[in-house]
Amino acid sequence: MNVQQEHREIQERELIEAATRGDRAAFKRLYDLLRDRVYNLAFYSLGEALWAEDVLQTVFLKVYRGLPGFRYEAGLSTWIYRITLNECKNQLRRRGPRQVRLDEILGSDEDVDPRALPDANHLDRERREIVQEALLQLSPKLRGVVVLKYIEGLSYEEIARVLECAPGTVASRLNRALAELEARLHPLRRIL
Amino acid sequence: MRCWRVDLKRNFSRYLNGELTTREIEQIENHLLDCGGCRTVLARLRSGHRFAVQLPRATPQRDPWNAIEEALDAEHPRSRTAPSQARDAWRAILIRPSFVIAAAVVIVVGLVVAFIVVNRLSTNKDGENLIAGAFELQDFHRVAIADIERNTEPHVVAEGYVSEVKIDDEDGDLTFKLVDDIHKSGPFIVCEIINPKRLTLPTIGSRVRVYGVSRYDNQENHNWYEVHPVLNIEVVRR
Repeated sequence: MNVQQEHREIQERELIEAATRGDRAAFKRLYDLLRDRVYNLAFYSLGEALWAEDVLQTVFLKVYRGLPGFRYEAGLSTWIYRITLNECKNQLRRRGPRQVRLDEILGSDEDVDPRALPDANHLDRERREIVQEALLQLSPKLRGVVVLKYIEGLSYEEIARVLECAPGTVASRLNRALAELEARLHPLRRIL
Repeated sequence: MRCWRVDLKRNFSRYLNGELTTREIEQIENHLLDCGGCRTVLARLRSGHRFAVQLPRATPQRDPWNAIEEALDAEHPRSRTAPSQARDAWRAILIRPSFVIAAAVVIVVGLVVAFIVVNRLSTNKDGENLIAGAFELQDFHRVAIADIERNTEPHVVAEGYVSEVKIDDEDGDLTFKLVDDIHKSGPFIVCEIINPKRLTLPTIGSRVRVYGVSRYDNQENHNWYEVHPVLNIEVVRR
């Protein structure tokens, strides 16, 4: 573990201990540190912003209740990612998966004005949305590894701890996910 | 012909992410020289990898903290003690119309007096510590730049060197970074002065003490700790 990671772990422990004693400001600081990561994982697991916001709330309530029993066997973020994924699985079981086709966001030929010159920012945003939608069409298992690797930047070992599986399984899932992403986006490779 | 080197194929995504040892990289690259099937698979995964690195981070549109806090308050209600009962009695007095009118008059008079006092202080001819008299500076919690993440106090004072001074064209706010070492990158605090006319404007490289309100800016592309607004600046060394 490097110095920065050690520093972060010490900071997290202090905040956890303070939050467990009822220090609301300390819990709010933990929330500020982790909120966006939880939301990001929830959004990609569920595919909808409103669902993800609900899950965000539920996750942090569960975190608050679970803090007294947290034993530092895994890191704080590993534990919270697990809670997030489990809560997302519960939601998907209850509500069923989101159904969106890639062509819903690509539009049809009539929508495109060939004379218009979109600016670079707009094109970048569209490209990212297209890739995002393609990811959302993968199964939740494959989406999870891609998000944890490519957006949250976790190592294979860290992802394995979150998912409670072997690093080799993470590697296999990532291979499948990348192959599926490629298959879905290959026709659009010239614009992406 | 199908390739049975499952052990190598499994590591293709790690290979693409640069997470293999030198020996493992050599094994894969030597194998690719002889295996067209694996070269095709890797090319597809490389394409998928190029798409995946473009994935945007999703951020929430609303912050549900208030709802979380309400839920926590509901789960852990504060007990009704004599002080809270006394607070309820005071509340009953406070909402009477005559009291509200009297309070409004006192507030307006108080604001006028404060405006006059602050105005006098802000025309200090030396131009330093311009509004120090309006605040009790000893009430500000001293915090090191590297420790700002752990701070839970609202009013802080931090000392460091000024780097990257900028003025916002739209609202005239002045922003600068406070760092421990201007020659190295490291922890920093973004300091924002809302009304630059009233404070000593720091020069880059000077060492200053900044008093203000501590907050965390979680806007996209920000995600940093701030002193915002800055309430006072003391120049330690020019």
